Amino acid sequence: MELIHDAREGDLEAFNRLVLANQSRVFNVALRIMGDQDSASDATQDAFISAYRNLRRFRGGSFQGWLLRIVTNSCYDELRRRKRRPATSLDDLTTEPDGEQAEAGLSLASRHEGPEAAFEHAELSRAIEDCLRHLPDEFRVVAVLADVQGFDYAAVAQMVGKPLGTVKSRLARARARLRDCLRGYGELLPAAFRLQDETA
Amino acid sequence: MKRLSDLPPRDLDLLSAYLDEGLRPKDKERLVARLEREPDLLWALEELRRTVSIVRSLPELRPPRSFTLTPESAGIGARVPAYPLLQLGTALATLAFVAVVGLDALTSRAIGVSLAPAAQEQAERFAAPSIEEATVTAPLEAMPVLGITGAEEPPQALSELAVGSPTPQPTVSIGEDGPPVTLPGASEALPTSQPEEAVEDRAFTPSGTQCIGCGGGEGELDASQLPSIGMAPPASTSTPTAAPTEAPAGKIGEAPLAADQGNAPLNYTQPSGEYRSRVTLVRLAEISLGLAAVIMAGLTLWVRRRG
Repeated sequence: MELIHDAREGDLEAFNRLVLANQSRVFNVALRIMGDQDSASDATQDAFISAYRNLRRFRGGSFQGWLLRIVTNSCYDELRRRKRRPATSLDDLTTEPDGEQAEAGLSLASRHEGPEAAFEHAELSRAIEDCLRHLPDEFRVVAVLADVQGFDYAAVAQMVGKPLGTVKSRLARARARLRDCLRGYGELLPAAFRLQDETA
Repeated sequence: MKRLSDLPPRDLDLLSAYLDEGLRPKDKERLVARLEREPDLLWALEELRRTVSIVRSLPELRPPRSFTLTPESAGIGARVPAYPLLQLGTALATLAFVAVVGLDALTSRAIGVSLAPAAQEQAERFAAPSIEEATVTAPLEAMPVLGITGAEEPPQALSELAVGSPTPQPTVSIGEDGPPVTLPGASEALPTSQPEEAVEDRAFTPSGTQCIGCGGGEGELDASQLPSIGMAPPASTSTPTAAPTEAPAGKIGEAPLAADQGNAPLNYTQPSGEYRSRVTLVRLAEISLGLAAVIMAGLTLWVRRRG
């Protein structure tokens, strides 16, 4: 709270300490929503700049929740811009793991695991990311915040600025679509996570 | 059932909320009862639980770089040029303020020194009532005499009028068979630069007409013009006896203010007006510059604090 107070008074150093404490989560939310690192980095940077300039509007409560709401809106804005001017990303054209992203997924997973387990986790991550990317924007945001980041319904409702019932409904549909999407990866998923058909 | 998306939306919402412990107790009891009876619903619940578990296993990635803000990216850089400008403005306003105040102090002292002799002289003149005051303070008893007799009036009454002035300096000094008389007292009381109109305004004959011979005080009088107010007759050598009396009524009684103003030298009143207007201007400049300096200093501090 002291850092927030100092940052409100224009102390950039204090604000940067808040950035360092929250940038990982903010970036990951942006990454899961946007689907690629460059866009996620831009959205994260924009969100922190916007947060610094509007720090006086922060009314207390969860500072991280406030930041995530800003980055969510920043991502929404960018997604809307993309829809107005659609451009096919090279990432979408390739089915092979992108070097940088696969490397990032591997780098975290492979710290405590052997090469085989690390590869499985990298495959799983890629499958989840792919399925998330194919969700409608409003479903993806809710799924990322609730299931990837682990926020409860109330927090998600506050971040996306929608009623609780809307959040519940969107999340249920997002989960159903994710399950149907992940089923397509079948054998690529680790055995423990392999989804089963009704008949299986 | 192959797809969760085919599940009725209401059931899907209930199952999803059940996973997150987001159902009311009554709804939860109903759903649990249905799950015991409906294997499809139970299967759907397990698939949802597995899906959530898979998604939550997604690792958190390290940010590729730090997102800390620099002053430029935070937009602080845009305000930086304002600070030195405000500093300069504050310094200039303060210097100008000090210069004007100093100039004002020096000018005031110089004007005070130059005016001092004139003011002293003026004060002395006002302290010693002039011959015109004698006119104004002439005894009421003498007025009818003056008004009736004019030039034929015995010199005694007029001499009393002249003597009415408490001025220690004699206003008339005439010998019995002396030549036309000069009035040094009058010349002193009325400065040479004083225009005749002012004198004419102040000096009146007993009959209420203006005294032509009284003007200026430097001219020579002849005997026929002597009975005018404010001058002793040529033959008058009597000693002063009159005491101060009440101011006469009528036109003469209205004269003192005009007479005093006429007495004041021009070089006293005119600089005073200029001085006053100049002082007003200087004061306005001082206030404006002082306010500007204070406001700019405040702005500078505010910008510095925000920057």
